[in-house]
Order: sequence, then C-alpha cells, then structure tokens
Amino acid sequence: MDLLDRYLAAVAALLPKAQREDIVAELRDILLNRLEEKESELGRPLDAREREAVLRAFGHPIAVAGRYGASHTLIGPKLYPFYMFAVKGLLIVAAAVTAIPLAISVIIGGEDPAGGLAHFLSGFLTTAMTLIGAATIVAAGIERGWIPLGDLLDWKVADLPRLGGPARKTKTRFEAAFELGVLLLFIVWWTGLVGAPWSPVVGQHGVFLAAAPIWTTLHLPILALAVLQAIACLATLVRPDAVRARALLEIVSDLGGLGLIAVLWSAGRLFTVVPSGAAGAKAADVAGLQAALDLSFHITVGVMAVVFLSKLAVGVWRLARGAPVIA
Amino acid sequence: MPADADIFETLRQELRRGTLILAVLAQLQVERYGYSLRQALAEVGLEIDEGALYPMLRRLESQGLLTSEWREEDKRRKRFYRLSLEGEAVLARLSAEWRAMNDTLQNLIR
Repeated sequence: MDLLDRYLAAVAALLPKAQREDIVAELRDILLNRLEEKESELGRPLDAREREAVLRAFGHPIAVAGRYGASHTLIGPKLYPFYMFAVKGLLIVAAAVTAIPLAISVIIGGEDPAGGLAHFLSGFLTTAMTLIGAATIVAAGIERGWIPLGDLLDWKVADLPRLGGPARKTKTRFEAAFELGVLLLFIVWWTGLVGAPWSPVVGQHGVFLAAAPIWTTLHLPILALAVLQAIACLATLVRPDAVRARALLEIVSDLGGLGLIAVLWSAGRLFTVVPSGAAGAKAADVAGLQAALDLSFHITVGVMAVVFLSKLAVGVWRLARGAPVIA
Repeated sequence: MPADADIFETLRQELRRGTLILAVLAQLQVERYGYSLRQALAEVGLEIDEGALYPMLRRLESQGLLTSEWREEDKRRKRFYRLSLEGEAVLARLSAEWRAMNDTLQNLIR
C-alpha cells in the first residue's frame, strides 16, 4: 500500500464515521497538491524518503484528525477556574478522609507514626486521584453539555463574604453543593457500602476500639438525619428563592440533630478501649486512653450541640423574616 | 517563564486568528478549492497553515457561512467552497467592524 494511503487510513480511523469519507477525500487532495508542489520545486519525482517527509510535515495522524473534532479542550477556559477550585476542595477532603482514620489508629497504637505517614501518602494519593478523576469527568460532561447546569452557577454579590462584619447567616449555593457532596459520601459510608461504622477498630499494640451499642440503636435515625440534611442542601441548590420552605427543612433537621446529640450525651461512653488477646495493653494505659477518649467525644458532642442550636436560631429567624439576607 | 520572542509569537497568533476568518470569507466571494484558496491568501501575504485552514472551512460551512461542492478538476475530485448568502451578509458586517476597529486603532497607535 502506498505511504499516502497508509497515512490517510491512520487519520480515517480517528475521524467521526459520518464525516470520515468526506474529510479523507479532501485530505487526499491537499496532500497530493503538496507532493506535486514539492516535485515541481525539485523538478523531479520524489523518492520514498521525500514523500514521507511531506506527510510527516503535515502532522501526526492523531493531531490531524483532532483538528476536525468538535471540541479541542477537555475543560474550557470559562469552566476551568471552577474546576480548579473544586479540585483544591477535593484535595482537602482527600487529606481529611485519609488522615482522620489514620490518626485514630496511631492514637490507639494500631499504627506507628512512620508507618502511618507512609499509609497516609499512599491513601491520600489514591483518594485524591479518584476524586480528581471524577471531578474531571463531571467537568468534561458539563463542558460538552451532557450535564446541564441550568442556573446553578447563578450567584449574588450579596452571597460573597462580608468584610469585617459578622459572619453571613445564609448558606451559598456553592456551600450547599459542597455540603451535599460530603453528606452523600457520609450516607454511602454509613449505609455500609464502605464498611460498617460500628466495626471495631483493631489495633496492633494490644487494644482495639469498640463502638458502644448506642451507635447500632441510632443507625437509622442518623441515616434519616443525613438524608434530611441532603434534601435541605438540594433545596438550597434547586430553589434558593424558597426561603421559608428551606428554613423549615433546616429547622426540622436541626431539631433532629439536637435530639440525636441529647441521646448521645445521655448514653455516656461512645467508644470503649478494649485490651486485645494475651498481648493486651496494661490496665493503667487502657484507663488513661479511655479517659482521654471519653473527654474528647464529650467535647465534640458539646460543640455539635452549640452548632445545632445556632443553626436552629438562624433557621427560626429566617422563617420569620421570609427573605434572603442581603448584607 | 516564556522568552520575549515566545510572548510576541503568541500575541501575533492571537492577533491573526480573527483576521484570518475575515480574509478567508473575503477570498471566497469567488469559488475556490482549499489549495487554490491557500495560494490566493499567500499571494497577498497571508500565509495560513493547512492544518488550521481546512478545519476552519468545515466549521464555517457548518455555521452556514459557506457552501461546498465536490467537482472534478485536473482529473482529481476537489471540494470547491464559496460564500453562502448568509456568509455574504456576515462578511459585510465583519468588514464594517474591521474598518471601525482599524480606524480606532490607527488613532491609538499613531
């Protein structure tokens, strides 16, 4: 087969089927003209090496076929800043979801700090690459119109952070989208698709962490609360103008959160440090670790109660006011 | 950091990109096939890379600004392009825009 035919066949294989024949016929004409131009310049027929040089100068088949594609960029310049912003956020999420379980494992002695660092790096890279890959697919889908955004990127100057004043009291749509993503991840994890949350965390140095039975009892209520909060975020995204309905949803979800906090507080111990096997840790070490854990979980539950109460107050105020806050 | 020559070349290409479409539309008031169009542009000092020219012709045709027809010439099938009615109207508007921009810029860079 002639070199030109081979070249054109390589380009044709990469072209859309509907236009293939047409584009290849035109390319054949262009290249024959180029070859003739070169022959008249040299005043003699071209040898194989010179013919190859002409084809090579025209461009690699992938590049030539690519020029006829509908879109030349995976993510266009308009979408790119939003994509990069999302990627930075996802890197933080990847760092958090990798570091938190590892930190717990190091604290209870299941992992030495050096090994923990190695596991962190490996886990972080895998999680970050997966999240960035997913974000890239979503962004490419948006760029090509496969994922319609509607008025999702509408924004208000009033939603921007206030300078030097008190903190903004309403949630922006971006914050709602971020919160929705985190909640969906939580729901996937909580429903057991990524391991049951009450499974004991086993350590290698004589202890493991056992979740209290209250977590099993509260499994469904916590799931319901997460779903309710996800619906509230979705409402903020889809109907930001429905201020009262959104406030009502958030009030119900905050009341549910407060209820759960109260049950967790009254349950007392949320996790128990248990010595494991013959190589179990000393009783004094176990007691010390248990006391530290009890204190940290009670502080966490206390902080969460304050957060839910503040959100509840804002929700009630918005319900009464019925309009978005314009700062 | 890109060298001054690279920066200049990038800016020059950006400057040329829009004007090439205007030049192609102007040249296709007369029917031409791709190769003869490129030669006609080169003769007036506008060299254009074939890799950019042919996809541009297809894009302009898909936008309804050009029409095309396959015909045999010199014992070879060639695709001839020319301005459509819509293309003529767009060329007239773009030409007016170009003249206005040119007048403004002439005053600015004098």
